[in-house]
Amino acid sequence: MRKKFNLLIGIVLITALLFTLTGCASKDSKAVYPSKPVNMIIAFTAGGSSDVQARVVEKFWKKEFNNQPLVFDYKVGAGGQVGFTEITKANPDGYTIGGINVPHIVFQALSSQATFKTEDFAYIAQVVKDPLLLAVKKDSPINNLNDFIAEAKKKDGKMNVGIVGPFTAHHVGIFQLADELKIKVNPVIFKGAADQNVALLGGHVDAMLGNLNDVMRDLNNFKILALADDQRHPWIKDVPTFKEQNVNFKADIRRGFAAPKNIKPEVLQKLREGFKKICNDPEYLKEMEKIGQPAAYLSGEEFEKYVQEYTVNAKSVIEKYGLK
Amino acid sequence: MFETLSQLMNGFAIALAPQNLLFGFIGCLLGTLIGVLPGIGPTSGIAMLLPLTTILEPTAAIIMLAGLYYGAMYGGSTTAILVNIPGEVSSVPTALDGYKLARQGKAGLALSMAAISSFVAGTLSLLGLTFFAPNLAKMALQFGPPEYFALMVLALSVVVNLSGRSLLKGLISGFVGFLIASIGMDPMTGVNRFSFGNLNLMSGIDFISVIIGLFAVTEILSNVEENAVDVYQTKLTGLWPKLSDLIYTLPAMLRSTVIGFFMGLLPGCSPGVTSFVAYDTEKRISKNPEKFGTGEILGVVAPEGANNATTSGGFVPLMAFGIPSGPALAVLLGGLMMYGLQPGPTLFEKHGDFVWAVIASMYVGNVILLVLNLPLVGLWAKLCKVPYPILAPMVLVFSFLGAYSVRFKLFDVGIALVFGLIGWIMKKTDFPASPLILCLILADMFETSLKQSLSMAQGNPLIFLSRPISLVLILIALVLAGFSIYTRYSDPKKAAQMMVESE
Amino acid sequence: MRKANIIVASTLLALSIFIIYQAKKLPASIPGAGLGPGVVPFWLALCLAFLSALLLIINILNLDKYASGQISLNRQELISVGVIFLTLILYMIFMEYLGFGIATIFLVTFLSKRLGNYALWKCSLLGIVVAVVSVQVFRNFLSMPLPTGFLGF
Repeated sequence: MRKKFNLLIGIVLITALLFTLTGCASKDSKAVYPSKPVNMIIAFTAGGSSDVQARVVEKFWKKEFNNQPLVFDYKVGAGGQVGFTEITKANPDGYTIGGINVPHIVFQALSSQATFKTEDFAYIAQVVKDPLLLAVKKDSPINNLNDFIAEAKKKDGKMNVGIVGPFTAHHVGIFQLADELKIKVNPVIFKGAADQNVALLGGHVDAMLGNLNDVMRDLNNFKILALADDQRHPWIKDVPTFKEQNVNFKADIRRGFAAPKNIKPEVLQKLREGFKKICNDPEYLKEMEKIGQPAAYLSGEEFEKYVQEYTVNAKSVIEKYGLK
Repeated sequence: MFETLSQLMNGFAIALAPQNLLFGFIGCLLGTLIGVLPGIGPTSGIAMLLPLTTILEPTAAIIMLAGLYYGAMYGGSTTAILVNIPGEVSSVPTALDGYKLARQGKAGLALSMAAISSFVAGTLSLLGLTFFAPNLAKMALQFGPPEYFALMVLALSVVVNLSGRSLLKGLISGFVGFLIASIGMDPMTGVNRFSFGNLNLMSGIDFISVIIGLFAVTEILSNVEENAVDVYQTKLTGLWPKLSDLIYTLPAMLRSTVIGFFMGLLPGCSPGVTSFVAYDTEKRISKNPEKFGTGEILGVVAPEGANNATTSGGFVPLMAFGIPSGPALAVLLGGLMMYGLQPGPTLFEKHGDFVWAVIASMYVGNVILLVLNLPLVGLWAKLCKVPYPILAPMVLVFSFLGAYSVRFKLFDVGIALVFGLIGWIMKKTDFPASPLILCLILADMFETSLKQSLSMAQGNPLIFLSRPISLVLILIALVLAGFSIYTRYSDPKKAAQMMVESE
Repeated sequence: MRKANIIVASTLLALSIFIIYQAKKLPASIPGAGLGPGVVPFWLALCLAFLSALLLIINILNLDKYASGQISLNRQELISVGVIFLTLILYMIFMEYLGFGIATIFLVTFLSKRLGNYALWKCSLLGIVVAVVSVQVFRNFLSMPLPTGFLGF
């Protein structure tokens, strides 16, 4: 009974502590941005990869931004479209920013049910570039890209390749890759990387076009055939790129941050500089490696340029493969 | 085996350290509260507490979040039994019999049996998690899209048994549930269905708002007239179960543990599904199936045991492959990632202390929850005595908070309201609500796995019959559904009895 | 009950025909995605149409043995339900413009007064207590972004 009583006191104390912690908003100094907490819109569920990455940024945020906290706001739904739309429609006072994903925003902006355009964002920075890769199960008879091509030819279009889709880098990528390799495969769409990985491990699909971030969780169970990037990645040094094997295939998923387009230029500048500092902090890079997300900083201008280029590219790809 | 045991003992040493014990307790307590509040489930609970992980050390934080998850399963039954408003999806079947028991003055018995069943099932399935996790995880991998589809068909065969008087009305209710689920973006083609350009509809209708509407709001609307209020004047009898009650329910607890645990191994099988299946199983094998729906204690024990077993089962794929088996565990996985703890086999190698401490804390947590919940039974049961006009507005406020917590949009509150009215009409016209809920929960996986399977087989539907596991599951489903329909029509006397009493 | 069944069945029949029509309008499949988006809803709606037509016919021909009972519904109950439902809609609107706390005070006070007919001060006290507690716990402790309205409560 006594012990329980002590526990009770403990809980009351902790609750009280938490109340005070949350109640202590810092004093504002008017002129400098930010003078109050900044809202961070996350378009995917709490605990998802986008959220986890943004939480790492949060750890370094206060140092760069006047000691003001970030307030997370999850606007989940329709493959991120709800949250992305929410960012473009927010008050452009600099107190609402959000996480964006490429190519998600590009495909959604090109879709017939678009609710925003890629020009509606003011790009702050790119923080992650997660390259795609072609992987099979550890005990699969396929050992390299040539085996994969041979197997696909043998199965004559009936080889199942798991992708995360639809209208994603994977979905478009599988068509491009099949074209490059001059083979036919049968894509099977999964809702997320988790289902896709299970299906591969259980042998329900023959191969998968996945992400570096997702296979990092369980490298021992996969055999990675090729990486869709310019250079090999330091985390998987012995995996060759497609380029090394004379296949012109490059694809990735990128995460970044953006604000609504009409934001004041000086505020945007402040945000871009702050993110630049955060992204070059060695401590931050260490944290990113811990969460298994390949950090790759691009400034807001470069990121915007990349999105524009990608959009042009995507338009022709969508037309070519009839993905409308 | 011995090695496992010694690691588990080490885990206990860490889990019982005062700080971890305290956070485990806080997790369990918050979980119970979150479970009790209608609509606010473990998913939003964990999500809301996730920021705390930035200040706590990993072991304590994950122990707390895990405690919150299975604590919510304990708490979900409370309001289901007392006021016919399930605190979680997984407690929807509990309400069917639990509320009847409460009306008969046996709220105490129902509540304490729910807690005991949760404890038994939770602890037993933890043993499964402790000793067989890697092997079991391999077994779960045998399930590909066709097997999931077959499993969904099996779960759907439950609908036949959930339809009260009229099978026709039960089926209609189920199909409506299915169609509600198809609103929003189709996960396989990215096309928006029935959303008419509305961004809120594009993200779909969340089943939490539907449940809050059909149960909480409907319950209040149905009780606006005085006549329903005197329910709460019934004298409370038998707060504690007798030994005979325990002996009577023990087999059901064991069966639902097995069902809940093994289904819980499969990613995508949420506690909401397994508790329905466990309820149905008990009803099928019972000698007196007509008693179900009239206040049968087995109808409380089975779902409550199953949902707790499922929570432990769900940790198997999470720890073995880093694959969350449901939304709540997906958020928990995010918590692990924030600490840089990559789940998967390497987690056991690199952070063995941590993993075993969390597993050990779950044993401790189950004891804490039992100790926490049994004394509360008396208190909760007294809640029946709170005058209805005071209780009702509070229930409504918390329900709305629950609907709002899904996406932080008033749209979801509106959906709950609309379904409150629909539920009231359904109640008046004798349409059962549980088939709608069940189909709504299952629809997404049903459609996704159907499409994936057909895509895997280039459109050939024979894939479901050519794979042994899916063939067996589909056959079982057909036999069960056929059997229920047969008894419904071949034995009119029993059927009639069932219909009169299952009111 | 028979009349109610007929009304519900015809509504559902109309609804399912509308869904069939809408599902047919959905675009055909996209490459690599198997069945198109409209296929499953189409078949579901078709089944629903069949079942509700069945219910309609059974009740028109008066073959439904369970439909004999009278539905317990009187004017007074209908009014009470309508009032509560309207209150809840108002609650939602209030929540958006006045803030969660104030809307909650109004709702709880009004409902406990209407359902229980206690003294007004008791009802408003209950309202204030419920509002303050839920704002403290959900907005301040769990940092749930509850609507604040212009008064910030």
